[in-house]
Amino acid sequence: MLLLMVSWGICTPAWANPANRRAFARYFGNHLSKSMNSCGTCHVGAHAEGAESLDDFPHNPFGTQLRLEGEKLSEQNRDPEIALRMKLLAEKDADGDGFSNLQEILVGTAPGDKTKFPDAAAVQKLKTLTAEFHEYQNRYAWKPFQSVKRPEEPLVKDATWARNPIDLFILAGHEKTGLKRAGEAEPTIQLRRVYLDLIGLNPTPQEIREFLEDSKTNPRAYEEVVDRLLNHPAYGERWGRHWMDVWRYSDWAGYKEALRESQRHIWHWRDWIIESLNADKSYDQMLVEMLAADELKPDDWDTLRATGFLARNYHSVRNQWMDDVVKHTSQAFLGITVGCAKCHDHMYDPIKQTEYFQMRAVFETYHVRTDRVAGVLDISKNGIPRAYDNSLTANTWFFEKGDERRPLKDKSIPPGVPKFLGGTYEVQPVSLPLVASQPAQRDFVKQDFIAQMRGVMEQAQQPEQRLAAESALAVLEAQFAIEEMEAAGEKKSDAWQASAKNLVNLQRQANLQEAQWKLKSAIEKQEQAKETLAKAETNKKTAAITKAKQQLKTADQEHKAAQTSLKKAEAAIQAEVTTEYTPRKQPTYPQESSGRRLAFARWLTDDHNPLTARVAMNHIWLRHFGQPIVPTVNEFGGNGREPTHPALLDWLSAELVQRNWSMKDMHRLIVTSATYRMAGTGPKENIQIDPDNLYLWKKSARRMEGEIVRDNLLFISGRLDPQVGGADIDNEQAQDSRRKSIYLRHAHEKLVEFVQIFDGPSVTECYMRETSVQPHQALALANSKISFLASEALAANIEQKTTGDVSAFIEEAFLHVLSRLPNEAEQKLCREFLYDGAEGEKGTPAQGQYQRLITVLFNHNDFVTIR
Amino acid sequence: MASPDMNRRTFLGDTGMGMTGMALTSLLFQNGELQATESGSGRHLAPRAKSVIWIFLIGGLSHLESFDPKPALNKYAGKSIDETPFGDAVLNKGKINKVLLDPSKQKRKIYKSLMPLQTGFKSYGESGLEISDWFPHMGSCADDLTLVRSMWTIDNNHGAQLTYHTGRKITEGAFPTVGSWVSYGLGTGNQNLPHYVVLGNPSADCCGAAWTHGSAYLGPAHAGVRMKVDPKQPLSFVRSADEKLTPSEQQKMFGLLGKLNRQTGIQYPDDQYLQARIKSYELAFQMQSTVPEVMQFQEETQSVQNLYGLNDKVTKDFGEKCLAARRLTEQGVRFIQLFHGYRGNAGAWDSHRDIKRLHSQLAAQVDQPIAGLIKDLKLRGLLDETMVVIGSEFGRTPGAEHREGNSTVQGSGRDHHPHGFSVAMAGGGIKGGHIHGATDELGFHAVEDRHYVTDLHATVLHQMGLDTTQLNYPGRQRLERDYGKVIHDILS
Repeated sequence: MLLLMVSWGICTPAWANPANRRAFARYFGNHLSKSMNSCGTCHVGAHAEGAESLDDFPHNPFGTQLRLEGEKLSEQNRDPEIALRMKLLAEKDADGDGFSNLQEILVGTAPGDKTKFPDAAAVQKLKTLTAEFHEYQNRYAWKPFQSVKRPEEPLVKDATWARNPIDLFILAGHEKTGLKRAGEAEPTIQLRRVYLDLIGLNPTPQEIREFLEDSKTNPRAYEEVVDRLLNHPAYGERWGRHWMDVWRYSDWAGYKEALRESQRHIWHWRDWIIESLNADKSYDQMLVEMLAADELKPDDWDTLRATGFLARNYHSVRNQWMDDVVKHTSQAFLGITVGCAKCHDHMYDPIKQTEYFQMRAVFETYHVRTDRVAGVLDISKNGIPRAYDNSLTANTWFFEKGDERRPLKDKSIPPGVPKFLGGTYEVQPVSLPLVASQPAQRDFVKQDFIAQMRGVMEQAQQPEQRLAAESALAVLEAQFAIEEMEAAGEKKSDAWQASAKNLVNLQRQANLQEAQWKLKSAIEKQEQAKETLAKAETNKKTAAITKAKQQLKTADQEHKAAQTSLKKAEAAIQAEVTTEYTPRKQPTYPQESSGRRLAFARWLTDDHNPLTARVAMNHIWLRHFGQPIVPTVNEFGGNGREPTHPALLDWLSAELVQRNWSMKDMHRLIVTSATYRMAGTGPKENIQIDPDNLYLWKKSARRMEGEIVRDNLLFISGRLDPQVGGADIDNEQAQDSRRKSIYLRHAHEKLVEFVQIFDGPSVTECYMRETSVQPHQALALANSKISFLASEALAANIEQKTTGDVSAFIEEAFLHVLSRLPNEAEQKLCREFLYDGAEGEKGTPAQGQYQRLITVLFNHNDFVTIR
Repeated sequence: MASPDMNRRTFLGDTGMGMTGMALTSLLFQNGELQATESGSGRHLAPRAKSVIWIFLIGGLSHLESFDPKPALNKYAGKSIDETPFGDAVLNKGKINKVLLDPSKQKRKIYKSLMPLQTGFKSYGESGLEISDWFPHMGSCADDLTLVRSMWTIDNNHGAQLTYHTGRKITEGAFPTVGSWVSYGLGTGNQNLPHYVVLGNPSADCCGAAWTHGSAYLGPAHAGVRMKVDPKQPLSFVRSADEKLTPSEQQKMFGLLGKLNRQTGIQYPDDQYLQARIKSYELAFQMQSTVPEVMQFQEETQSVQNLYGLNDKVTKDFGEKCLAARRLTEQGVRFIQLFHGYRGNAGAWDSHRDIKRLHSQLAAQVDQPIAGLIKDLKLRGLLDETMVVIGSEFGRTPGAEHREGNSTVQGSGRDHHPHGFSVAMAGGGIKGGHIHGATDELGFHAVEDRHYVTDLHATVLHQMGLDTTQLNYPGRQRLERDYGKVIHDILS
């Protein structure tokens, strides 16, 4: 049968082919009766084994209708697509057995065979089947590769529940599936939920009390909390870590001084992420800056930190580097796997192999360098790792079968974007200001050099050394002056000539001073060495003698060299003065950038790009609800899974764009929805219908990320150092450091074990975290030093406040750790524990019991759970 | 465990500990105590095996160079499949597509140019089982082995790693693994260790990662627990930072914790994570002392250590895992999943090129440890009740994969092959010296007694006393192919 189909392709019109059969199956989806997914639906002799042409396999009446309808459409120059043909034929009855084509297909009784028709039992089902099919047909069409069209807000029976349009979409799902939604969560639960979601920290007991009090009179109490949290500096840290997962943040990885992946000081990019989020920099702008800040704002180093995204992709093997940047740029921002098209055209999506290389060409010109920051001249100590184009024309070769050993060098692949996503990609080269191509021309760098030389001068121990430093300083200042003249285009002017000659003089002077100082110190060293040798010889210690001889030899050599230099310098000073000064050594980069990445970023963040906003909103939704709308967050293509609420995602995406890509606006919208504010339990019957809560009939609990567990141990116990930003802290310090986890080193083989035990992010990629429950987590929380220190500090703090009132201690402890008061049973259990067998529960609990109670609460399921 | 607190436990107030009698049920909290919602004794059948050691070679072991020799490949080496007498039967498109779920999405070139066997084969033992020269130690266990030579799977890429463990294609998402069904069905055999232990790194994200030892809707309590095989530090945070804290004091703390968590359970009766966390604390408390004991390999005699290859750096790593597996089965752990060949991405066994060099190196790492494990179990009289299963997500193509552009590797590797491959099994009531099923003359299609991967699951579960068709979870629909069918022919 299948062999036969292959031959059709050659001898028959285009519509009679396996693609038609697939289109037919797709049109009906799950509603196509199994027996109808066969050739016999349209042809007689469904099992015509050995049939060699269509003549052996003619159409039945239904197939004939379908074919004629196709011919008619073709004559009218219309696309004879199966879906349209089926629509036209649904109500007709091809075989004349009294049942329409559609009815027969749904029930599974051949529409082209009048001897087969629905029996009484099937007739009973017809109405439901037809209704279900119509509903399927009218379902919201998920077309992720087409620009977002804002969907209508759905009409629902009971709109009073809705607080904003998000709820209407969710409600429509409830009504369709017959789910009964959960009620609103208790105020303390809502408060803790929104605190942890937006800033990653528990509310304090005082904040809880204030909120409960305020709620009594202020209907907007919750909304006001939300506004406050969105303006809290910890918001940027909380969501920064989320985006760092998606953008695969990694501190530098290597062995000793070697650099294998990422870059030193990449934390500047992390700080830029946090600051940008706190400033509510728009999502599209953030993407543009990450991909092309060096072309957009080449003289703004604060913004240039954004290109840490590209610097992080650095890999010591260039091909790997380019692979990573194509693969992860497409997955993180577009939710498509362009990386799969390296060796062959993409298997599931319309991405050509050439398009992989076009996208590589977008990045082919870029490299990474480290620019100085104020106050630090040594870039191994600090500096901003950033992207720049080191070429305007770097070639991209097409690798046959993706094999880098087989480049096709006859033609370089130009930069471009995947065609099927539309939009325009126009490259404009960017000319760069002087400070971009010569970053050592920046004022602070010059100041730092001068300060450095002054330092040498001031610390000079001997007059010769001081003189040398003074001369060097004079040279530096004269160099800066002449560089400025040249930058102003005054080269070769009379003033320039004079300055240049002056500089040459100064340089000769400086060389002389330097040589004199070197000679003097060489002589001193020589004498010292002689003394040491004499001493060693007196003591007759062989090892010391050998060492001292070696030292003397070196000193002799230095002496000789210094004499030579001095002679040269003395000779130079006698020569005629020219304008040919020695220019300052400084890194110099191209004065132009290709513009390839900026063009890509513009295309990516165009309001009509079909994927950018959808992918972003899906990530944001995931982190508010624990489940994304499209289950495969980095794969919106054919190999991904279908969304649960396509219309909602489209609506959210349209909203994001309309709100100028403001993420804070979207957070506000989501967390103030009735959907978000639901309780964590709902009617039991729902479990039968939707055990995974895909339709959000309740708010599913989530486990805190490992970073947040650790941060709250510090915060709740009053030990947290709230400093925002700064260099990464050794991951081995995690148990002792009081800084938030986001600031601890996170790199290959440099991970924080405590965080990793709670399913911490993988360094290479982490688009969505796992949530496991493992005994290791119990041990980490129960036994770690950071837990111990936390319970110690918190117990002391509460004891001081509650001064011996055991019930008050228990209440405060619950409020601090679980953000709610204990119920009666819990109070009782805790009292029993504190007194542990003491009769009548009187007096003071035994030494250490308070702290142990706190440890127990830090191990409570609901400490690590966001309800 | 003798504290009055713990003895006062009522009814099913505990989870995990002493859970054997209440397996196969879903748990709900009522009045602060976990209750079984459905009665059912864990076992449906008389068990034959107590534990399963499930060894997985990541990336795709060549069945042709391990357990399924095909002399025809030598005879027709270099010829196209079309030029052999078997061409039509092998290249039948319908047959090829029948295996793959969603074949239109799984385009993969068929390499027709046959590659000769890259190693020799010998007959071993009384049974005369043929096993390749890369696995001589396993050969010496031939009379204890069953080779199933007729496996097939539905995915021709490495997502098949997940399929091997769950029966589902990776695009369908996470589903319960065979180990999690054992855990769900039987509960623990030891209250001090997890039911289901994972040693070694599972596959990468592409291919299932943690899902390959996950439990999906069965709830996180039934997921595999990863353990380090490091005698020096077998468990992180194994000692309390509070040096003064005694075990009995900590036990009281955990006792209070359990009660408080159950209080919360009243409000959230269907919270699987809460249930799992309660259990994980009870387990964690015990693991503080049991796990370090299990990983003390120096307690083993030198000859036992050598049996597993601990004295050789090539075999040491996997040998330690195999030895740890034996020690865990002795402690009553039900299901131990061993991974070999983690390399990020597809896995080390994925020899698209240079298969002779790469596969022989990898085989050398696992051959002696696996054989050592089987022999050691047998010596101790444990092989009867311990089932060892050695498999891979798929086999490799009879045809040579042609990677153009490099003469040293041209046609030197084999591609993924889901249409027919082998697994080896020993112990737990499996026949010895037995061959079941067959592929065609070229080792392409499984033709006799074909088995989908879940048949393997059904067989394992059967030997553990579980009837796969009765393993269900309230509110979850299982497909026919999820259940699998017991391979009765291989049972002794």
